[in-house]
Amino acid sequence: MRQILVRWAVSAIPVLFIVSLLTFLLTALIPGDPGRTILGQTADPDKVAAMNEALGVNRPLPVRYWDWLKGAVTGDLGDSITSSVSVSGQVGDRLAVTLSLIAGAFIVTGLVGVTCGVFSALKGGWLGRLIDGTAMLGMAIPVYWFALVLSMVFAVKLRLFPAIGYTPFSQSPGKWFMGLVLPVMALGLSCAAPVAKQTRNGVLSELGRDYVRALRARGFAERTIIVKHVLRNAAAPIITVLGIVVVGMFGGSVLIENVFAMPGLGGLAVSAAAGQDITTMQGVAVVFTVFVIVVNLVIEVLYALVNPKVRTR
Amino acid sequence: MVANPLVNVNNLTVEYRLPGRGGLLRAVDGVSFGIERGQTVGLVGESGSGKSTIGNAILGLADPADGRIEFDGADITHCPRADRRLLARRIQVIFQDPFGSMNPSLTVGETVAEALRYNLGLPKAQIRERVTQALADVGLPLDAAERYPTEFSGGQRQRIAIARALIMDPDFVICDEAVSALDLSVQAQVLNLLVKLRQERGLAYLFITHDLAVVRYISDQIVVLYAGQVMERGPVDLVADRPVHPYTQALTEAAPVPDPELQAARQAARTKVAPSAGSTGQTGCPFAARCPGAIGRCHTERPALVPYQGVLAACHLLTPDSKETIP
Amino acid sequence: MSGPAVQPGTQPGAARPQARPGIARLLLRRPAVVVALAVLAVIVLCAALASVISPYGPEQQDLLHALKGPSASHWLGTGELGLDVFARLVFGGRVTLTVVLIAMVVYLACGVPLGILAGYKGGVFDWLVLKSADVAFAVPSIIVTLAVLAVFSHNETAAMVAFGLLGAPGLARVVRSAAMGVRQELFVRAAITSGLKDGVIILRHVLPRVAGVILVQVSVFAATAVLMETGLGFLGVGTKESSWGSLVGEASRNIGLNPWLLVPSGGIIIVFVLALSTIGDGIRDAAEEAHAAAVVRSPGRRQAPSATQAATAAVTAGQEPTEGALLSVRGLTVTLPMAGRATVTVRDVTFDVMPGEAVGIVGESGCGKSITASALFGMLPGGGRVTAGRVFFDGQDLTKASPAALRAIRGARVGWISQDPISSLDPVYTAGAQVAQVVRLHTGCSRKEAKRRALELFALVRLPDPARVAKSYPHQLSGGMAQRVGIAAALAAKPDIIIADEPTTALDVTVQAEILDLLRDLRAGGTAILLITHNWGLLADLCSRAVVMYAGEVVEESPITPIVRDPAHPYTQALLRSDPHRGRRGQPLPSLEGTVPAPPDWPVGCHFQGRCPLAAAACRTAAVPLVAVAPGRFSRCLLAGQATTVVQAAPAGTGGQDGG
Repeated sequence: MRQILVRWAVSAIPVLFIVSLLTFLLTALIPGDPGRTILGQTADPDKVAAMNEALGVNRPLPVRYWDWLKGAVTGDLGDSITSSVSVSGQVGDRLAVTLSLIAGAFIVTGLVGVTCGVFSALKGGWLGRLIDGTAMLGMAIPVYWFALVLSMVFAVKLRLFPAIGYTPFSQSPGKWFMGLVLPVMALGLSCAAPVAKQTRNGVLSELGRDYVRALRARGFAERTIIVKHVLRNAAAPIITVLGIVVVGMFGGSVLIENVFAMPGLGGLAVSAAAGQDITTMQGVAVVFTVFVIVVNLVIEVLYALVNPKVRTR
Repeated sequence: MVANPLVNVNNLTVEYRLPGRGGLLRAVDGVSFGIERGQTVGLVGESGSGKSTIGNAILGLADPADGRIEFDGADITHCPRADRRLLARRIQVIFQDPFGSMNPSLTVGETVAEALRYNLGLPKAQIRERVTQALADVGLPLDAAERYPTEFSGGQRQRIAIARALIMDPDFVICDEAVSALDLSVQAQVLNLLVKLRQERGLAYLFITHDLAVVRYISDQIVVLYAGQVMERGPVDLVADRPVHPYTQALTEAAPVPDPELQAARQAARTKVAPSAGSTGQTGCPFAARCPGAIGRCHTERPALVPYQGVLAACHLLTPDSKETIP
Repeated sequence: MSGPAVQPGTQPGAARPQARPGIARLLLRRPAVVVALAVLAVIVLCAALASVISPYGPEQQDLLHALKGPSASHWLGTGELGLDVFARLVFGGRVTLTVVLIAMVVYLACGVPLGILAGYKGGVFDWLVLKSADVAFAVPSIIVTLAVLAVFSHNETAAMVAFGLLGAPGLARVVRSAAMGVRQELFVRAAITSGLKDGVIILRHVLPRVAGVILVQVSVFAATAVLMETGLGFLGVGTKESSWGSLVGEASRNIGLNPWLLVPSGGIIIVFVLALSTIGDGIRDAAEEAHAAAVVRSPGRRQAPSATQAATAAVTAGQEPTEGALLSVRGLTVTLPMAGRATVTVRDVTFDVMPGEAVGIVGESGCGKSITASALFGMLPGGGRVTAGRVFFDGQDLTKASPAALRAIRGARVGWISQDPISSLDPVYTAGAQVAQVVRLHTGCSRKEAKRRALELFALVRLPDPARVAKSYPHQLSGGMAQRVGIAAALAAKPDIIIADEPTTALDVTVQAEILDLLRDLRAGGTAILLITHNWGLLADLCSRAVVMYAGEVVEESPITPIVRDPAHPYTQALLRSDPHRGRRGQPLPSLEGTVPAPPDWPVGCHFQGRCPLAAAACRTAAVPLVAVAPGRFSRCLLAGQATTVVQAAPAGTGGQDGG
């Protein structure tokens, strides 16, 4: 356990450092006069100068990075260069929205993906083919398009759920839930396909292993073999895929929040990109990276829990 | 010791870095032996004895940590890749797995011709001629060259592997478990072929195997390895038929013979060795923990390889014929 | 290729062997892949020829017909300002596909060389690939592309170059492990020892083998790149030109006014991505099939295919079990699916095992030993069926028993020991837990009692330090220890018979001797043993009777001593003489030419006819029955009487087989 933590810290901290450095270096990549590039050729020279001041282009890059890093470690991600609002404050306001969305979608993905995968592996036949086909289609449908269709059917036509917006939990748990149903379903269902696929492949390949044959020779019932042995062994690669899927969900949340006009981090990222708000963009990128790294730790721990080869190394 | 052997392995040591936390595994630990021209030396040992690693070190596939490998008088211990191109014309190898040792997407002809084409750079006509000859020499049908390895059985593939090795006209061939994966009747075919080619071409073989019966049949000299160290070394009729080292004895006695009465007698007379308990310490004889006759000294002091009744053996229980020790 | 071609037809009448189908050909045999390729081609062509095939330009407005459904003048309807949807799809395809192509080029150009170098050369490249993959996987790619777009506003090319760069470490990592796998292949080691240069080896051996992996990755990446590009267009931060993504954005803005817009805008993306992933899946399956073909295909040329099925007619089925026998097998015939056809793989197998007796089934690989053993208690692999004959266990006909009844017998009355001890244990449970599970299954005792009993069993199989082994996971055990655990599990319910399928093949010879001691003690304790082996030494040590199998049939059955000293069947004779134990140095081993025919190639009549020095015309006309040649000895040979006079049996005790 401690070994996993140490190994994680050793790899996570450099990763975080490199990501922050790379996003920071993006500003240095801006060709010519950064302020002018961002604001456009026709912009007021004063504004360009102010922008360059905000970007700190007059100071050497390492100094700027060091200042930013000092702040970032204490939770201060600087101010937005376009609106002068604190980036950390904005991120803090929007965190809950994105996390509710991803947590909900993760539960949906896990339940739907694993159940479908197990059924498709064990039943085969038309049910198996149906699940396989749906999974393949699921991977091809763009998540935002799927969200639009859900929204059209369940919000616009049937009026079961709100089409847009987000109600904080503290304001009204019921409305919070109703508002999350469509975004969570859209994100969760569209991410379930790879999980179902891995589960199916994992279960099928475990069923072909020598130990399953040995268990049959020892007189165990098929049901016991599947529940106690096959699923347990197939769990490790499923967990790995779930980890990859969660990272993908952070990306998908950007699109989903846009479809449902949710005030989350994704929306912040899009408006920062559209408004060329580089400091906000940096902040969002770093926060997302932190999430991913934490998710990786959880995955590693879970992986070790189900896989004695890792645990007893 | 032979005056001017074709191959001379001297105090060879090969270490592997263990995966994960690191640490070194000494796979081969101070092994010495020589192979004369036209001679066959059998390298016997169980899994983990380092026998294949020795072959790999001679082939340049493993990098020795210490010791010296000489071929025809030249030091090839850390021979660079460029010089290996020249060595490949004289040292060849036949691997165990007849299904893994050929690229399934190349025809047999392409596989056998590979070295002629890319190492020697011969013209096409000459390559074709030599491939046809090589395939005929190992008893394969004429149309084999344009077929794919998957169309051949294990024994036939091993013939292809032999053709690939011999097409360079080497004088030394390493057979790394070359017949171990084959069924009895096919194994006999391949062994006969190897013996015939040895006679015709004066080949020297290093025959690496775990099967004492095979090594006894084909070798002139036998080197018995345990945990990377030489236990016993000498002429085949002595080492295989009258072993002196407790490990060689255990190995010989453990292999059952295909006759019930004989086997019952052997079984009754067998000295039981303790089950292998993983790695022992660095000091002492590596076999001490399992040896039925081990004395105190065996656990603390590594025995030297000394002459004993016509062979060389590394065992504290044997009184050497002379004081001379062999590295 | 300059492969030296031997002139075809040098062997008159020899069937020209079929060339091994390449991945490309296997791929084109799949209808779904062909359809997907056609779809991709049509879409790409339409985009390339947009200005020719589209009746409207992408910016051509038709304000009177804005946001309308499909009509004769606008096939796919119109969007805002009456822009024609079809025109925007074909022109938008240009924009989308161009940037996707750019991303793919960056992805391949960075990922493939780096991955090959890392996998083949290792060292600093390896480190670089692993670390950069760590970084690349830590950031959602949409965030990175958004960050790039924050700097280079609406410059989608820059964004997609970044996307390709971000994906490249992932490709490199996959290529790396594939290349590492190839580097370990013996044929690469053989190429190195043949003195080939690294460049030649990479081009000739490594690249072709990893090409399939790369193609699969590229198709997946292209699909995500399309989704990413259209996502950016949908968010309105991508290119300002009309692309597939911006059309979805427009559909979302007008979802109330014209929901139809969702269909063409999403449809084109879905169809395109679906085609890409179909191709990707197809490549992966075709690569697997090409690899599997290498193993399954039977060697040599086919003989008359109808012969084998005819040969199954004369089986000695329907006989009654031997009085007092624990196991009585009568005319057992088994079919397995081979190349899609049910093929007879074991034919007319008859033998008995008396209580407490050890019987060995011996033969070379592919003779049907293991399949026979699997068939006895309903353990045939998928698709296998017993088509004739009966298996009596303690008087009960198991071929008529229900699966539940068979399951009740397995483990409880029949113990099974496998060939590969470590992989026969479940890797996620400790050895003690697994054996305790078996104890509980068959005795229904408490957990605590089962645990205690497991430790007892471990002591019984002479495992050193049973308590420590009980707490160990399979990967922490040596092969010999794992096999003892396997035996302990087989003994959990005190079975009447143990089926040991090559129980020592994977073990060292000194460990084999220990396992053999254990089995001998079990037999002495009254447990019957059915040993499946290719090793005559094991048979001589443990068994009192031998059943010799060749090409799916029992060719000889006899008590052990007479069979090794004076074998009756020509195959047994040849097999025993080719054993190097009996060989003399300097003399060729009496060897048997040819190989065991695979089940589809079995000839009519005696299965051994092709390799038998005595084969006569009669051997080729009809199935040969198993007949008694002496009391308790049976041989399946028409020449049973004469055989020994023609082929000299090597008497035991000659040659150098005795170590002394």
